[in-house]
Amino acid sequence: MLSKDFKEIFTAEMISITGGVLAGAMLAFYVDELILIPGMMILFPGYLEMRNAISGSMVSRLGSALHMGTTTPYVKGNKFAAENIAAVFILSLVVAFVLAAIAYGATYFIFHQSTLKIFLIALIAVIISNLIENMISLYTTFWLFRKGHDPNNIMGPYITTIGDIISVGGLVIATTVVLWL
Amino acid sequence: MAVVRKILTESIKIVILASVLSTIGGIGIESLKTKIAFLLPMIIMLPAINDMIGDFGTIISSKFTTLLYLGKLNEKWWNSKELGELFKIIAAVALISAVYMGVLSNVIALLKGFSFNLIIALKVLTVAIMSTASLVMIIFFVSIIGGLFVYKNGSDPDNFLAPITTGLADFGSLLLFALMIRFLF
Repeated sequence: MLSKDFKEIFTAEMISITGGVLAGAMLAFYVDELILIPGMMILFPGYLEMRNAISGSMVSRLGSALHMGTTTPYVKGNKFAAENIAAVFILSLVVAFVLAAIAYGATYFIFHQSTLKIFLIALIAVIISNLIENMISLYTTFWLFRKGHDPNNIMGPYITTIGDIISVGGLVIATTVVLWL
Repeated sequence: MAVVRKILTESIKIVILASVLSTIGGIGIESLKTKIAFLLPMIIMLPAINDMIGDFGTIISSKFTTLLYLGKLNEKWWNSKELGELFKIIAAVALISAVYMGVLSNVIALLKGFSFNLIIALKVLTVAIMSTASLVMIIFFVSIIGGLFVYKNGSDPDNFLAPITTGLADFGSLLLFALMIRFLF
């Protein structure tokens, strides 16, 4: 007989891996373009980590606020939600800039090839993924709460799964745009 | 604006630290990028493996801390039935997850036109299983030793273990992934 812990961890992991592999499939499709940019493979893991950490914290904050009754599960006129979105946007831009600087520095000093385009890619990718992922996170968290579910139990694996797919999509679009410019 | 300021000041350091750790792990991948580009299943597996090991870091650290607070662990942690049970569950899920991830990556690569090669498929599976198994063991060990140490010093292991295990998982998975590609392919 399988324990409750096994079932819960196993289910969450299967969903998470499937999402990760789908993100990887998207990455594989555009790998020829992506490897043209020096530092892209350095930026990539940090960028995914950042997206998941920031969005994960946001849904956790929203979940706690909903349970405590300090916010309502509606987007319209919700100051707390608006401030969260603003904070996440600023945080993402700052961290993306730091990651791009590390990727640029590492490629410059270790691999002796670098391009400033990595900054533009990181910033465009963050703007695209923020616009999509944060809106989905916000609306889904509120919707789940209104339907009587606990967003804290569902949003964690959900956000890392869709987060990977949206983040890779954002990075691919940003790279395509920058290479096209 | 108070919420914005609070979120920024409390989150920025830890988010930068966690992201930078992953970025450092990415240096290993960058050095092998042309090799990886020809190994479609490995590219497909990259985000999943990074994510999965991080998930195990979070699960192990939070479960271990809960056991500590419930008083189910002491100096002789190796005698704990609950910890043994947790290890068995994590090991079983990790093994199944690694096999699922390896097989799924091979299948998707095949669907994308990557010509099937049994040796490469088995090597991809080996990378998935070996990376997962070794990092889960390391994370478990770090959680036990670090968690007990922090707990004995009167601090909350939750605040210490989650960032350290997820950071270790991100950094370690990429580094191990890069090393295995270098030696296996």
